[in-house]
Amino acid sequence: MKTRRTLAAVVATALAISLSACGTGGGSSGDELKIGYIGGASGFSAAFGVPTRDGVEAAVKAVNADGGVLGRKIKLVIADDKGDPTASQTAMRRLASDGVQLAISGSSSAASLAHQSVAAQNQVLVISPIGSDPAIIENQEGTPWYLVNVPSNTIFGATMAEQAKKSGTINSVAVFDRDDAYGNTITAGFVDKAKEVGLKVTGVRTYAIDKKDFGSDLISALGAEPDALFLSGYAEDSGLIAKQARAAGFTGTILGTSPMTSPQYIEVAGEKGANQSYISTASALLVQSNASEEQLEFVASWTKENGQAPNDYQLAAYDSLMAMVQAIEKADSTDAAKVRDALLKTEFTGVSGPVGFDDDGASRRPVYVVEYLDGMWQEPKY
Amino acid sequence: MNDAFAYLVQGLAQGGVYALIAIGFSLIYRSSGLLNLAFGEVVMLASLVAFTMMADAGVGFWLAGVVCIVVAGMISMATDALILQPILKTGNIANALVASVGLLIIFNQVGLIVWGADPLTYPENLGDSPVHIGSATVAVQSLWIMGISLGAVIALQVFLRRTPLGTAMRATAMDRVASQLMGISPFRVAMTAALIAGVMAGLSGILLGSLYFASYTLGGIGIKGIAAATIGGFGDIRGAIAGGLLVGLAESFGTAYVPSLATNIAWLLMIAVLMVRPQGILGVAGRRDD
Repeated sequence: MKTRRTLAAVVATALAISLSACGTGGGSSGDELKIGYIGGASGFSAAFGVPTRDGVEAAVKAVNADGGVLGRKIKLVIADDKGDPTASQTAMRRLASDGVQLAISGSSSAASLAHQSVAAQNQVLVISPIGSDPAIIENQEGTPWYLVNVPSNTIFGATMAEQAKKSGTINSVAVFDRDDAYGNTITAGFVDKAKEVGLKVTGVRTYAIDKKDFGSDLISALGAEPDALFLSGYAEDSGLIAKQARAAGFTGTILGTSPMTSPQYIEVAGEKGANQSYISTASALLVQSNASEEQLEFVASWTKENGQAPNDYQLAAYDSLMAMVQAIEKADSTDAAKVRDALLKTEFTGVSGPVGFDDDGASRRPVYVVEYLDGMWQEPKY
Repeated sequence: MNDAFAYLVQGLAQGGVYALIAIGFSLIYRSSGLLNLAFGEVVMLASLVAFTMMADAGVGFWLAGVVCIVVAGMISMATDALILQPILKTGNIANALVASVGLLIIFNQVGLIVWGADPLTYPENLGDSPVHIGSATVAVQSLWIMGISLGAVIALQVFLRRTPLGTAMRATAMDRVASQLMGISPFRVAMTAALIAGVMAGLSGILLGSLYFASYTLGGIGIKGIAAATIGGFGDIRGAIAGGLLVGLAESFGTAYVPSLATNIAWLLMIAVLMVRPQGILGVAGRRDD
């Protein structure tokens, strides 16, 4: 009997300790605050997953150097989802079981859509500077657990169609549609806006995400003599299309969206392939006239430390972590629900430009159009 | 008409690379009766070795090509001699097949770990200018690839038909038991086949790397060589060439006229051929020692 009472006392004490641990909110490890990072460190998603992680790590380093948040140092818990939606769900479960309640996601849209429900079930608050598929916001009912710090694909595609029409030199466009959640929504935004503004779409060629040879697609697409090609893919596939289009004799303009601001696009396409590419991007910094003095100072300091200038992913990731930190301070708590409420009211100008969220978690960041010409990004000449 | 010509050139160039890879699969199968699934990954490793030679060692495209062909030949021979042949000697071909699946995964991971996930663009390639033939425009790389593939196929035919070792390889392909009774060493034939297959892998690797980029993901293209070899007739060199060209042309014209099927057209063709003519277009119904 005495043994049974002792056992009951031990169980009760353990339960009390574990309940009190749950009550502190925001996964903690001693005095450290755990913040998760989920994203692809390998495969095609590494092109944005790795720089996003770099940006988050740099922000964590800066916050910790400044004394941390609410007096606690941040401990970054990293989960690699390899760009795979199924692996992404497992990675998010791992973060949740590791006590993470606040996270930044560098996952692709497809992977974000897959792990979004796992995050909501476990009440993990996520900011994604990458997941630009409009379905990520549309899927959420009620108060959001998944906030995006990047304009939606529809806006990126539509902006490019609008700007192409405004150029006055582009009247017809052949579209290459990457066949996944990202590419399809970018294409839909572009084609819908093109119809609205009277830009002729000569054809839409949908391609498998692992396709490497676009020779025959280009023969068909260029047969209609379009003024421009619109590419809805990532840096690697868009780079291949641009490279092969130039090799097939295409001298017109190439239009695309933010993944093509990655150095990987220029690397794969080559200087000749990438020249005369117009890209819609949320990064103000690609063209210095769009950037503030503070942003330029940040770029100079980053460049000094890392040997090269930060890209859009690194900047947006840096700001996402900073938004989370500002919201924690505003809420004076690491409880995910309280941080989320504060986050929805947070607005500031970060290193990537203005940061802010709508009530449904959508980003309020503006979209810019830049041109890659003669080896550098600049304001479009049209 | 101009478009049809451009699709034809595009299809033949792509098909030329598929043919080289299919020849590799077929040579290994002819000599040892094994479908070595890891062979496509040797193509991938060759493309990465060529990148290292050009980008890190600073050698030119053609010398890098020679080095990557030698390395691919060595990988192919070592794989065969040290792993697949000893397993085949136990008489269990299923075990050798499973081992080749293991090698496929290991090679792929070696590519990823050593060279990383990013696509690696060659500092030099076969040129990126368009060439005008009549009123059609084709990429100069397509013409190079057609020429190099044709040269490799002719050289292989000369070797198989005009040299004693080539004759021994053909004899083994026709009847392994009888060729052994005639004093032909099956191990020597297998090693020669593995070496030539490796040469084909090296050539394919540098051509694909030049056309696209070098990457651990290139093995996916290599695996299409299986479809090409099967369509043409597994184990038959002329069949491998015909199968490769057919797959290239089907993909090229398929992309133009039935784009929704283009991604899977090689596999659809393969299944259709297997159902109608299981030995492939130019294959024979079975080996005499089967």
